[in-house]
Amino acid sequence: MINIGLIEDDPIHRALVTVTLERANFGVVSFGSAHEFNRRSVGDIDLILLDWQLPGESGIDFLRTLRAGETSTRMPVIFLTGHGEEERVVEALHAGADDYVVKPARQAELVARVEAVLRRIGLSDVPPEVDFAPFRFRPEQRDVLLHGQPMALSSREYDLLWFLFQRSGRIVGRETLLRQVWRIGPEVNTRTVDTHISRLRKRLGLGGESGWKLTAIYHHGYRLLRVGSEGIQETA
Amino acid sequence: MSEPCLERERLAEIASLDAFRPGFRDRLIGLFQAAVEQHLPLCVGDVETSAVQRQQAAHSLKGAAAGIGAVQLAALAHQLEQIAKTSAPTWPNPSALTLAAAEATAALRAWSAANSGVS
Repeated sequence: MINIGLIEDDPIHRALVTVTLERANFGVVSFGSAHEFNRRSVGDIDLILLDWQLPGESGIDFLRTLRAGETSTRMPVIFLTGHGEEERVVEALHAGADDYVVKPARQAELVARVEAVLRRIGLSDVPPEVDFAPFRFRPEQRDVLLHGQPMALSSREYDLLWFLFQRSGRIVGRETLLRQVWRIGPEVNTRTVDTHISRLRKRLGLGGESGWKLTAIYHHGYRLLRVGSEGIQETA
Repeated sequence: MSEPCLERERLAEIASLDAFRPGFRDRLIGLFQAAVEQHLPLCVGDVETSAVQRQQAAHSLKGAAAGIGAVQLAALAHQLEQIAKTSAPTWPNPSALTLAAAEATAALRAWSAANSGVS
């Protein structure tokens, strides 16, 4: 499931956007401020919908900080704001927004704009095969080939591997993996995540042998990187 | 639905979301009423406030009204937001805003009552 992070302090618009996107089969995680977003592990967020006028840090300042800190991957951001003035739209796009929607957003238009941005980054309309050479995923069959050979994975192992490859380059927290792959809360011992990760790393050469490296990030979770990726700081 | 202070297209969108998530319409109306209670006193000067606070309250009231389709209230709140930006000491016609808020609230209640059980 594609997850949208909604940073919006107005309860009415938060409710409207959340139900609109849930009806379109998106997951929605909402935050009342940029500070609230920054405090949480957001490895499962695929796109941000951002209000301009927020308590504390404004949406535009949040976006500038986000873009300044990005290295290997770029988080898609759509502004969703009551400010429709041309200079605001231009300022947001110059700051790195991928699109700009004026509130109140019409439901069909909002969904279409989210899907359009996701399409641009390859996170929508999953094709029959997805190549992360030498791995090749076939989402409809729920299987993966390594150098053309099918790998015998359990359903959970496949879901975990697919989740990590879709978010390669980003840090993904253990609690996020429990919530999104295991569909359970963080009250469960996160050792089960570590055990699965360890097994996948050995079986699929994810210590770098396959061209991909799955690294533990101390206190944060895991990050999957193609070996030789530039601009990445290995912290563990 | 022929309430002039409410936008028909927006009500139709809310009704469609209510069909997907039963109870959503009434929850949204409750959120609107809470927003009016919170922001209206700051907008009309019942509570002593600065121009910046008044502008923020007007902006929030405008957003809440636009979100639920209360177009007249949203337009008046927008006017107030623009006036507050200029640091004008007084709001020229606070009773118009109060009246628009009351009309929108009553119209939303009537709309909800007329459509309860429909979705």
